[in-house]
Amino acid sequence: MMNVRPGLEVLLDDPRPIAGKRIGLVTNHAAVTSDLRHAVRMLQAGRGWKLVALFGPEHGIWGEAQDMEKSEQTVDPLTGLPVHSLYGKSVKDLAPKRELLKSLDALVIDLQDIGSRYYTFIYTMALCMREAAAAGVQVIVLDRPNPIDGVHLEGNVREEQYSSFVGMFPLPTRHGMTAGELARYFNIVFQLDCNLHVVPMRGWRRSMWWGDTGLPWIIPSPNMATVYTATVYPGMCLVEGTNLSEGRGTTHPFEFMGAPWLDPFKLAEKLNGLDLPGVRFRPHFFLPTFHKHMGKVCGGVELHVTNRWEFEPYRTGLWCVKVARDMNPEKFDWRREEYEFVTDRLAIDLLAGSSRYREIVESGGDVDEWVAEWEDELREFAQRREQYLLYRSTNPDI
Amino acid sequence: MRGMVRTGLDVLLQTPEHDARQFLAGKRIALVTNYAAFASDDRRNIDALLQEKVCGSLVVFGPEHGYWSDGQYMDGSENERYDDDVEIVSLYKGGSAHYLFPEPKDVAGVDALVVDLQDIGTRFYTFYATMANCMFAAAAVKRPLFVLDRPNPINGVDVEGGLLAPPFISFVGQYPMPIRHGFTIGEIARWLNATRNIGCDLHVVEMDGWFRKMWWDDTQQAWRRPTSPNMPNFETTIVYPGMCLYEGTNVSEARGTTYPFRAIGAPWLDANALAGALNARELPGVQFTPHAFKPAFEKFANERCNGVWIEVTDRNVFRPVRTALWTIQTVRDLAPDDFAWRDTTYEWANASAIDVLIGSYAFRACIDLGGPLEEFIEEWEQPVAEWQRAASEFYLYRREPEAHLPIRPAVTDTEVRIAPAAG
Repeated sequence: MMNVRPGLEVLLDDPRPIAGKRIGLVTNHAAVTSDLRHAVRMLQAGRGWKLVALFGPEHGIWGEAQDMEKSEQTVDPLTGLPVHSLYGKSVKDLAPKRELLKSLDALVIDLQDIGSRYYTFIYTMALCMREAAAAGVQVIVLDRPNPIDGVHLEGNVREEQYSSFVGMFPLPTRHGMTAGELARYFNIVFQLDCNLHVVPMRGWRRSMWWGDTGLPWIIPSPNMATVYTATVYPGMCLVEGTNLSEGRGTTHPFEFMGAPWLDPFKLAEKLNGLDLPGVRFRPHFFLPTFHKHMGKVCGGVELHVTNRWEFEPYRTGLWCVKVARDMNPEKFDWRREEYEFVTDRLAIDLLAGSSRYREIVESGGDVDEWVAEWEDELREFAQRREQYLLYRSTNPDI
Repeated sequence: MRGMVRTGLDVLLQTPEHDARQFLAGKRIALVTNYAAFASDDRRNIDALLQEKVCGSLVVFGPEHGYWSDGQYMDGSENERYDDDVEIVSLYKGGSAHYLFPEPKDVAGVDALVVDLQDIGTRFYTFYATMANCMFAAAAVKRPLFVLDRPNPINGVDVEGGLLAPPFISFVGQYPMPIRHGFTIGEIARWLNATRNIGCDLHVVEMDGWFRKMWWDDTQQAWRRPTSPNMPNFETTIVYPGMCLYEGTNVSEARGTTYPFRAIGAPWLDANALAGALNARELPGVQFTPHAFKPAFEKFANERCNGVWIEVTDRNVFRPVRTALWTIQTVRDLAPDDFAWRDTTYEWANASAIDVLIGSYAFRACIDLGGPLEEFIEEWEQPVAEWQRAASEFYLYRREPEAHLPIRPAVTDTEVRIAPAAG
């Protein structure tokens, strides 16, 4: 079987980009070769380069921390190297220290992204690029697949006033790009101006879903359990901006949603009645073991994606929240606590990248009217991203 | 398991930014093909490649049976013209094996070779050997060779029959693979290039949407023409890996009827007795019904042949090679005085036709000496599992899509899909 070779393997085959260099590595446990060997171990054994520092993104370098849990500096058990956290107490802790970078020749970034605007690894990458540019250090991004393919785009482009760590740049919700492509895009379009070298994968094609790559799925973060989680995530992450449970504290985060005060049978019936493409809803009860509604039985639905090529995850998520809210507007509320270092704007607005969605829901408006407005900006984005794409051929072996 | 499959030709035509297109644009190519190779939009590959300006100009290299597939097997064909602009060079001029390779000057006269041939998944079928010969020629003259891949009509999972032993190499068995090899033609090219040290600058333009478990009728591709004069339809490809062995006997494989390979018979056979004896064996996925036919040419031309019709009842358990071996043994046992092996020259090989087809001397020995057929088959097929494991390294396609999800509708690597879909 033809496996996709991640950028890490391509670099190990031809390590010239890091030859003779002192390197730092931004990574977590999910950065493995196709036969499960980890980036830290592979890059530690330097044949003419030296690994001198490690940096961990949100959830830590071994991915053990929950969401929005601050990570402290630790020592890596394998190499004895210090691990610098890129997810600390405040916004300034999200970027690596410039002095630290100055001791390096190159900062290597190997992070598995999952193709949604909310997922923070791409912004950790961007902040690293910005600081590395200031420190005069090269950045080498080792590319990995977009698990939900590179063909499908969806959602509104984030508005400027809703910039946050879950949406640092104006991207559509589902951007259809790989981390390496985004690095190229960010570097020019958002003027990060770093000395960037992307090591592309071998054998990846835009139409591939994770299952087509032959690579093992390693949870890139604690609640990204399977590729199905990644499939529904562009929409279901919106539930984080409400007082509904997104299924955190169960084995199916983001595939379940509900609340103690919801009637699962009515909710499923209403959602199925919308005839959203490629998805069916099944009534479901679940009991979160931590996080929202911990220890309380929640009534809700499980999403069953029946056709992932037609499935519209973001639109589906928008409708899920709206329909649940309309069933009990008294009990429903938006999340009002601090969210990803932001207190002055609501989480739902940061996630949706706009206040339009909240306003539509609160005024009983039609979500699909907003959905219909995106087409032009999506086409514009598709054009803008075009020159930064790395995988254009149907046969990368040629 | 059904899905929309795009052949390598479709992918090439529909993807202007394809790397192969970048190379071929404006170039003169030799298109190794025959008249049965069409794009999904019903255009013949020659016309479509020129209309879409995939290449600058082209010359056709025609395989066995000639470009127009008008020749019978082992009939040589001559150079001719497709139209005013396109010349057809025959790679099967007949007379001797010398003419199975393209002439060096013809290869040197082009910038690249492009192979677009519908193979049918059996070692006897000579298109892959023509391709291999072109690969050797391309390597020698330092021209790149592109293979536009097409489905294996009898799926890419099942393999059957033993490997070919070296003394029995011929144009109907040029490499050590099982009779039913489970490769696509693009995969064969990759396998040969690596394992035969051909050193050809090879590029396979892969299909889109094909999975190994697919049979031809799962691909939504039309069987547009007989791929060769006696391969009229997909059903024939299912029985061919076994029934072609009758070419090595004096029993008619129903050549000279409209259903070659799907029936067998001879004037001296008793149809009812043969059908009864074969059905009694309870071979998987197949039933035999008494059948009589009068071949219009070839063996027993215009004589009434009595025999059986081979009705495949479950193609997923049907074993075409094994089935044919049992039928040959049964025919021979029913008419030991009349049955004989073919003793005339066959595909310019040095051995008897049946040995060349089987790729071994052991089957003929087993039948002639009345040995246990089951033992022969077991020994013969013993190395095949290991062979397939090694060959799978050259596979380009997965067995099936992820279990619980539908097969990919035609999503291309170069399109952008914006949700929600318009309307």
